[in-house]
Amino acid sequence: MKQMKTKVLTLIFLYILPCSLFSFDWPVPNGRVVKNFGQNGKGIPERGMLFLYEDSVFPADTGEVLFVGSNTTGKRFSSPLGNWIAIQHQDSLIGIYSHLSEFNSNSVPSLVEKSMSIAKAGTSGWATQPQIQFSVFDRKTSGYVNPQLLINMIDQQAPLIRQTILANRDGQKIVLGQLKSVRQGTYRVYIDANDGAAFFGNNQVAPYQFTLFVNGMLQGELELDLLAAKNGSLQVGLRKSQKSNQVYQIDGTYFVGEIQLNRGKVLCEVVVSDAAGNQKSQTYQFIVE
Amino acid sequence: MAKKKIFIWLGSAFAVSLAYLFIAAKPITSEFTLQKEWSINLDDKNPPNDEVAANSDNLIPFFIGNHYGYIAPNGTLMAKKSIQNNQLISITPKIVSVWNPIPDTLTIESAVPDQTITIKDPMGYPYLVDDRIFLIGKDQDSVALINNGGNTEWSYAVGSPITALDCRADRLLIGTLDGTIYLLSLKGELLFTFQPGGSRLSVIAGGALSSDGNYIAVISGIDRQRFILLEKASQTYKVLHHQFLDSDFRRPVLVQFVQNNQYVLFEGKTNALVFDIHKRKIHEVPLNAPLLAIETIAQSNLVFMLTGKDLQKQLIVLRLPDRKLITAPFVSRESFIYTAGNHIILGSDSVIASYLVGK
Repeated sequence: MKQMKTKVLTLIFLYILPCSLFSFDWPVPNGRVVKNFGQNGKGIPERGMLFLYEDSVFPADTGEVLFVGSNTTGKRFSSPLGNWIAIQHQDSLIGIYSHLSEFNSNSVPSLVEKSMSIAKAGTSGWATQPQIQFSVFDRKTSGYVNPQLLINMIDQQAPLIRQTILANRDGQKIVLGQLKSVRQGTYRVYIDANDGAAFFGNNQVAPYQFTLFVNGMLQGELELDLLAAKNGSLQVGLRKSQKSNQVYQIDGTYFVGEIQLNRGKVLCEVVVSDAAGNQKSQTYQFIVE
Repeated sequence: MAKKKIFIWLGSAFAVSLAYLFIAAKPITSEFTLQKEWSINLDDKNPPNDEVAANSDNLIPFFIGNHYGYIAPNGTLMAKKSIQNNQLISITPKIVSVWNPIPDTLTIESAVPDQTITIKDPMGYPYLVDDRIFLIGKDQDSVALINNGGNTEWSYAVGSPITALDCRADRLLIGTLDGTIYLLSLKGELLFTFQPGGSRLSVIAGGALSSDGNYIAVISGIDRQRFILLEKASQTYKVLHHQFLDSDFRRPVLVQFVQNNQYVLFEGKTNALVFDIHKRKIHEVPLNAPLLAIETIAQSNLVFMLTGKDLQKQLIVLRLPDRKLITAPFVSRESFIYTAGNHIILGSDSVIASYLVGK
């Protein structure tokens, strides 16, 4: 009887956990993401999900309107977010809905529900075509969190590793797989990788996690789960935070770590995974001279 | 006996009246006048006067409708240009920039067009203050200072979207969505940071710096909203006064120091609130529409407020702390106010007029 009770409780818990974890929904029905969280745009990480879309926008969850900004916020400065609404959702999470079309701020009620349209997507601010940028700010971690971790999405497509690049201290670059031998020394490792899913249309977006192993040893890790400012500079990653201007390269690659290569055979493995857990790994074997 | 009583009563009444006159009477203040000096209709085809443009100081910048430019203090239109519907603008008496929603380059021109600064591949929008150029990052969570060569001197990330900005006394005040204020030097150093708290939800709805940099005024939080005044104390700032407000604004709120930093003026629920810093007393001035702009005349206790909702606008002249001298309603789609010397300039749709403020 006790065992039965435990099983029932476990089942209830397993049912409730994903429900509470994924209580957020995407703010646009059937939207297609053209840029996702952490995506490298000319060396700048994307703070949220960018949907090309021109219809009604809905709150990701029930909540309370925290701030409504207009294209010219308080007439003091032009707002790159354009017309935007920030909604305080559950658990210290704030949903930020930006680039909206013009709306009467008095028409937005203080309390909003998922089924309630808050505005239409638009072209205000840093935008040239109808879109909505959806970001989630977490008060607890004082940073933007990856919305893909909060919302259930179907993705069975593994990421694509385009290339892995070693750069020595002189800035000389070596594309792994093209050479059979490299010189001994310290190298910075950059990965060029993308992710794709039906949810992203045909667009290549950022993966979620990069891991680098050299001869079976973990040498570098980058997780695109949090973007937070510390001492005036933007940092990426919750567990191991790194300066975003070091991670994000203008050429679109991501810096994942620095390695010391000594003489001998080297087996380098790069593992890239997306937020749904799909993984792609690539191994490179070469000799260090 | 009865007669004597009447005389005593009458005498007492006279004495009380006399005493009242001496004690309560105030001298009649001089009459306040606004005398129209000039007006310009931007729809007229009068070409701007380039000769004046090359020599003028104290230019009056304007941006109204799709027109922007400069007017000389004598009312000569010096420059009139147009922007496209999707373009954005920042204009000060010294510099101006007009840009596309996603600009490839930014051009900052001086008011007297002899100098141009180009910023290549800017990842944000300019915020111009006097002759200083800041760049607000495209995600609205960072500010950079741009030098005269168009290069970034420094950049500072604040982590959540900027909701309030003010630059005075070589300091930059930033308020953010997560309820934090940051005070930066113009070298990009963090001088002070503060999270007001005290409300159920924290957010910075408005913030202002005094012209000497000694005070910071903040409107923060929701449920309940607070007014906080911070005063400089050695290397930091300390709370001088805080007050819960009736308002619950979930939008930007105008805040400004006026009359040589003796007062802070900000928007209340249905009024303008004037906080007397020395007496720590708040005065209320009823308003029937949101506060759109505040302008002051230096060394004067006059404040000009523009209020409005939809097409119904009002110019209100206030003698500090709380005496309304004029309430002038007018109908206008777009309007602005600006003060230059002892003139108030009022823009309403395509007409800009200057009035001499007199007593």
